[in-house]
Amino acid sequence: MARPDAKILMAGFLIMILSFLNLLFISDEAFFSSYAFKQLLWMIVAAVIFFVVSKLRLQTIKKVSVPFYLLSIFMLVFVLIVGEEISGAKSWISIGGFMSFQPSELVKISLIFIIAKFYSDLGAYSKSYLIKYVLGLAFFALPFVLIMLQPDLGSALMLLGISLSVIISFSYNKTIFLSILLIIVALSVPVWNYGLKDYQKERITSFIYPENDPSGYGYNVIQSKVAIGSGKFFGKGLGNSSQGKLKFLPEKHTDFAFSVWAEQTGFLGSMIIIGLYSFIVIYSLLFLNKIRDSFLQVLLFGLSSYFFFHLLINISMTIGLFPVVGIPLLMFSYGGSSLICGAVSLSLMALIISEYRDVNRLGL
Amino acid sequence: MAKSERPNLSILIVSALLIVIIVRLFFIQIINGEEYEQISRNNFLKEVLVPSPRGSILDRFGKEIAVSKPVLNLYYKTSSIDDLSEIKKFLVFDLGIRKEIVKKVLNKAAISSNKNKRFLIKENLKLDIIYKIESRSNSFQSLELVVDYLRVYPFNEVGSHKFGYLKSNDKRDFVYGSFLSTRLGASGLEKVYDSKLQGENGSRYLLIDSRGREVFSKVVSIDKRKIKNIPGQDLSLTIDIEMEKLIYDSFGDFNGAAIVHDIESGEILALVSKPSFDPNLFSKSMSTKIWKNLRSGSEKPLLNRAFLSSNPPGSIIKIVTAVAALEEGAIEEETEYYCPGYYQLGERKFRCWKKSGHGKVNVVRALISSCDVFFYRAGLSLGVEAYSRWLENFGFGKRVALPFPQRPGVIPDKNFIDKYLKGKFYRGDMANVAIGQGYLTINPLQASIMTSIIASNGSYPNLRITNDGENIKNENLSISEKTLMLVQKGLLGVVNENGGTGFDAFDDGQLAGKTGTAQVISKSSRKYNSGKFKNHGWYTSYYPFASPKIVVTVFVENGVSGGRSAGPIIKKVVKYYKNNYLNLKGESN
Repeated sequence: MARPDAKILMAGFLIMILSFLNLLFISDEAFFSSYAFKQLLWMIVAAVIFFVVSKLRLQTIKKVSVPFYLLSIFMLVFVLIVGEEISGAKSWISIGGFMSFQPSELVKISLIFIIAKFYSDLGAYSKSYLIKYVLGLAFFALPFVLIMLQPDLGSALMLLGISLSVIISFSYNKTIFLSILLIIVALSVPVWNYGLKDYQKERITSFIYPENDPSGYGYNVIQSKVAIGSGKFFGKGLGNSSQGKLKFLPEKHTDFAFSVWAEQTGFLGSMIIIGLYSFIVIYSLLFLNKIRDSFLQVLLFGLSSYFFFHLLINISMTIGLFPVVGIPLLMFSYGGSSLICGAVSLSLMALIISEYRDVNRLGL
Repeated sequence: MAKSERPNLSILIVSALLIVIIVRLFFIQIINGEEYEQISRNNFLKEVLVPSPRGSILDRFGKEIAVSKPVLNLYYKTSSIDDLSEIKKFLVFDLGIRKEIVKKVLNKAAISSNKNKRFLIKENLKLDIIYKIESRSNSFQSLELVVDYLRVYPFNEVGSHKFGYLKSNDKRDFVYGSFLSTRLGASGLEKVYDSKLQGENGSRYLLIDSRGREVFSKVVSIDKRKIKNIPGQDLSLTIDIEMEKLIYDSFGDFNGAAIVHDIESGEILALVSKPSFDPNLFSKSMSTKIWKNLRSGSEKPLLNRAFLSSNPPGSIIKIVTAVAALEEGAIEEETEYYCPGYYQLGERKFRCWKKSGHGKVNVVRALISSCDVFFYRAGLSLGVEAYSRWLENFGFGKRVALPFPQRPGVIPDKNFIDKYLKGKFYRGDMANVAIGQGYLTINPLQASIMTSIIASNGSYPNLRITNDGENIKNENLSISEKTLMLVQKGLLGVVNENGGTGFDAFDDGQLAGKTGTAQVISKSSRKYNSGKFKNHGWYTSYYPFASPKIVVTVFVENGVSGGRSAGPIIKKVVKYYKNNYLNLKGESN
């Protein structure tokens, strides 16, 4: 019987606890209508997922890759048809009016699955890098286009980051790598001209030229930096987020959750959060070479980059190193979709790390 | 990448990126933490709106028709720091703003969910009020002086129909609060060219301490932020606003419309409709009483008579009747009809305006004396089908290619006859339309086009009011030289010969034109041609005869006779044109 790796699960559990505390202390509403309470409900769902995944056998995981991918693509199409439009993008499927779900979150994981499956199927006898590139990019392109149609720039960029890191690391070839880079640069012009909505362009230009900023996205970043900076080393203490409480900082429970956390807990608190995520990422990367099965190898690498990119982009956003593109801090920002998908990934990573020896011995 | 290197390299990249973030956090939280804490404790980011002026509307000589004048307004923006009763006291007792207004604004702000919205307290502040606010504004977070732009029309009523006016920008105001500079074009050119004229507002952030003073900070470099507002573009017109003013004033107590255009270029020099309204009234919020008066006043000041009033053309249409009859061979140069003062058609007697009759007249003489009998007969031998074809050639019943709402009027073509007259058009109907009564209505602009075609030997003018369009080549109606010569001779006689109906505009012998009277139908025959039911006068003309430059058309509501009511106006326009365009000093009488 599998015993998922306890260290990595513990890190995830701590992140969820801190997330709950953060939401609890910045809220000025009654507990049962607060984001903290809703997040608590999602955490119960996450706990169930941890339990279910730990009962899985690694052998079955590979088989679900294709249906999992198809399901998530279907949901992306579905959301374009019936999705609820929130701040200009059709990204959400409402479940029973109380909770809503974001299919673009799910596809980030299923894409890793399908690339992992096909790379492992090919890997044994195919030395052709080209096939791997074309396949990987094809699996990526479909959901990418669907997400751009919503349009959700942040998730699309995230998808690009994850798939490129997986594709490049598992089929590295200089020529192909450079030509892909060239294609991306060439494509960025038409995407900018026709693919992006004005408000999205505004966010990006306001990042590059903060003075040219009529809608105040630059304002958010300044407020976020003031919040983070004013936390100094020890923070103002939980519940003392003045920037957050005075409503200077918008989206403080989602995109800027880290900012109010850093304000309350200071540099020390920031380092705890970054430390927990870094542990998850680096700890799982350390196991990579010990795994012989290439499906599990690609999967573990992909999931770990899934965590890393969210950490990198979200925190960079809050400290003015990256445009505000609406990327949450996985499992820490408020939001069911990212919490559930984070929980699924984390429990899979834990399962792979604890069971790889059996697989090495027995094969998939 | 070799397999064994992969994880190590990944970990290296991950670590490098993490270090960047950690270093950045170290700088923000530890090196500059003290300063950020200061800002978060004492200071606020205050957004200052920088409105941008709407582009000016200029006449052909660069004279300002509509300009944006900078004014200072006082706005209220919700702030959790200020004491509401203090603000109320300041506004009511120190500034003397009416209590109800202050209450209304503060209540609106209190229930609004948008805390960044500004609410207008008072606009176009006087200097003494500005001083008072300046001296105290630092004590209040929520009061803000904003430079705004008021739309000013220096010529007031003159020509205002086509320039248009502004209205509040409700959608934008709902989010940002109401600003004069973001008002939208509601009618006329202000509406048509709204996107060009409209500027883009900018905003900047100030770091303000708790006493409202701007502070500067090393870590938050907002003091460097530039004001990035984009002023609207100017719009240049072909209009001569001084000429319009002259025409407008010349109408005296009369109402009506007048158009002056350059024959060759199609540039409209003047387009006046009276009565008019003062567009300045629309530049800020207006009382409902004034609005109601404008909307439903008995004189309909908002109605642009040059486009929107279609009336029977009266005798001026005889120009088309003559051209059509000559071109279709219904009459010849030599054709003469005898006018005993009426024309007997079956059992009905169709009267000539001159009861004693004109005697024997040919087409030139008939135009000069505007003999109805001649044109009844010419029209009857021409027939309605050919006639309405020529009416259409001259642009009647069609919209003019100008960006204004229009009433194109009706012509008795097959469509109209089938639709409204059950396909029946009697000879009596034909006699009527041949002299411009009955089933034929036109607007003043169409009359100008007709005259322009005659003056330019058949070229259809491409009228324009702005200089931005490309020059479209004029379309040519094929009218024989002989016909044109005859009609032109007739029109010259109208103004310059004894017995010509347009003699009131006689000046230097170079004006040619045609007068007309549009009958106003009243249900009671006793009221006929009196008061509100007085006939409308038409006068359309071109100048100078030798090498025609401009067309002047004047329509006078209830002016009784075109010659007498419109003639003097035309005379003034021609004199003005000579002095300002031809550099000839008035040398006549």
